[in-house]
Amino acid sequence: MLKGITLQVNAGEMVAVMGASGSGKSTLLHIIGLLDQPSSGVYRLEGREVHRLSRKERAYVRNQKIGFVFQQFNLLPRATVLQNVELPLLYAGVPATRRRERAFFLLERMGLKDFAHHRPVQLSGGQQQRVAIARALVNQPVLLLADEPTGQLDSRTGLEVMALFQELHQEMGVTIILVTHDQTISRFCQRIVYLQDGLIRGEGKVTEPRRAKEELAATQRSGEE
Amino acid sequence: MMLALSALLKEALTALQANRLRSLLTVLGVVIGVAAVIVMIGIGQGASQSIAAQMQRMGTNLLVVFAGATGGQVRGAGGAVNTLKAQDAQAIAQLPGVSGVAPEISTGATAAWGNQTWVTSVSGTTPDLCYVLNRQVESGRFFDEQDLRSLANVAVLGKTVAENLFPPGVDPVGQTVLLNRMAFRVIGVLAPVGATTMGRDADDIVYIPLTTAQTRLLGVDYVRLIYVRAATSADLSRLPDLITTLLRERHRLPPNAEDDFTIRNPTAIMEAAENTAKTMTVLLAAVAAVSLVVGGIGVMNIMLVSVTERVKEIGIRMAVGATEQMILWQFLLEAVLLSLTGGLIGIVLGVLGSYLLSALAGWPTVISPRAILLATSFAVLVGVFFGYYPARRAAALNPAEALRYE
Repeated sequence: MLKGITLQVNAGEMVAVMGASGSGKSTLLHIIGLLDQPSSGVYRLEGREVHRLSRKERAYVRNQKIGFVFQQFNLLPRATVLQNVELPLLYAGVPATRRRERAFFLLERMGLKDFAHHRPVQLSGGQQQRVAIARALVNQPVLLLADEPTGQLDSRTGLEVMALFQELHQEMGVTIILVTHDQTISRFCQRIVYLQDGLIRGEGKVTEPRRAKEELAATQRSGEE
Repeated sequence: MMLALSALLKEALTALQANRLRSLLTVLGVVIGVAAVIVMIGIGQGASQSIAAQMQRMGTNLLVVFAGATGGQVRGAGGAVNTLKAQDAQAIAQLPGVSGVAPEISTGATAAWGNQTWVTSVSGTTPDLCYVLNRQVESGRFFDEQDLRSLANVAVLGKTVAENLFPPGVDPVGQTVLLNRMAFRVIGVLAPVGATTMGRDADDIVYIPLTTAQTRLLGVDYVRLIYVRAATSADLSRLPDLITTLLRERHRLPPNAEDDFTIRNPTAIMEAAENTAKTMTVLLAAVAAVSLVVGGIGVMNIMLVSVTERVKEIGIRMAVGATEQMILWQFLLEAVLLSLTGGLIGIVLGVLGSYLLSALAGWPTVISPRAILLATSFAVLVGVFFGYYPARRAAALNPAEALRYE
């Protein structure tokens, strides 16, 4: 899928990977997320070569360093919202009370505290994605990977999610890599990498990234008028 | 890891509860298997124990010398073989290691009291019988040497005979009964020993002095058998040879002639029966265990389905940091929990079934903690064994592929 690409993402960056389906952007994301292994090449995370780690070590790195947000939210349907957010902490071996505290803290941050004991299906798409973001951040990762995070959402909800990403990026300094095929979404990032047929076709800085929060406020104002 | 174990256990429980009916149906095989193991071991051990109890009651160290040869030639019905005499018994009593002998001759007889009749068997014997066969007198007394010498018409009744001839409230002791129309004074009633497994009721018997039976009732001078009680079990194994030599000498048998008597060791026979019962127990339990294995295959089947259904879930868990081992544990725990649940239900059913068998069919059954422990640990083992493969498959999934799965 990928035909030899070199990509460097600096700590604290917010990067969009753009490309049509089949361009290899998902494969790239899986490799970056240590869900898959490259057949050849080197992947360094925080300066450490992680592409040759054992399955167990990769699971550990995923758990400690990386948070995932998916297009389909990928929440466990049988578990409550709280349990979903706690899941990475569970695998990290964090004690139950500490898990609960931390999960609640993030749910509060996402404005979902009241839904802690609901099942994911009882929530709207935007709320579910916010649960997924809470889950991704609960272990304080250095890298947040988002795969078409707004793909299942209407534009307004998508804007809300993007606003959240930008806030988190600023507040926590977390590095964000966002994969999308949507030109307008990529404009919220600081840098865009274009992928086509497994090769990097080009990349460029976004001189003035869109600000989701302001756009959201603007649409709200226009709605009120 | 230990930290996560309790959490994993909780998750496994949730997963099983989500599919309650399916979980129940899945464990049905294990339920039946465990219940079967418990009932079968219960029946087998019940049989062994009743045999052991009988042995205990009769006392070990017992030999029976029958008149007539074993083997090919039939030398007439047992009662008609006239080779053993009361004097043989006296001679055997003199042998070292013999603690008591009791010759016996018996016949079928109709006992009557008033207008009550009861068909039973009448045995002529000597007072030592009580000691030799471990029988106790419940009321009255057993006949003594005096009665034997005087050919007294006295009788000691077994409990079954006493209960069938006399209405409640009438003391049989002191009454006169007719045995084949001959009048006998009842001087005692024996304490019951319960039914024997040989199919004969040991309480359905009337004892009278040997001399009386030989002279007045039957008109013969021989006995049908001699009970010999050995002092120790070592004596028991030595005695058959001594008795054989003694009797051959007394009966003046030429060296090439067959024995005209047969020595049996009821203890050995019962030990054989007990061994048979034990073998049966093992066999029955093995058959039941097979059904447990079949149940285990059912668990594996459902676990495989469950893994296939939850590929996506496994992918999600791996994405957020679950290691292979944790996924393995999760599914293994589910399988073990399934079979353990089945095991517990099976225990309840097995215990109930054993009681029902005892109550309805009258089979002696034993609920042994060992059987329960065995069945339960076997059920858990089945869970581990048949859960491992599906769990292994779940754990070996590639996270990226698992996440793509719809």
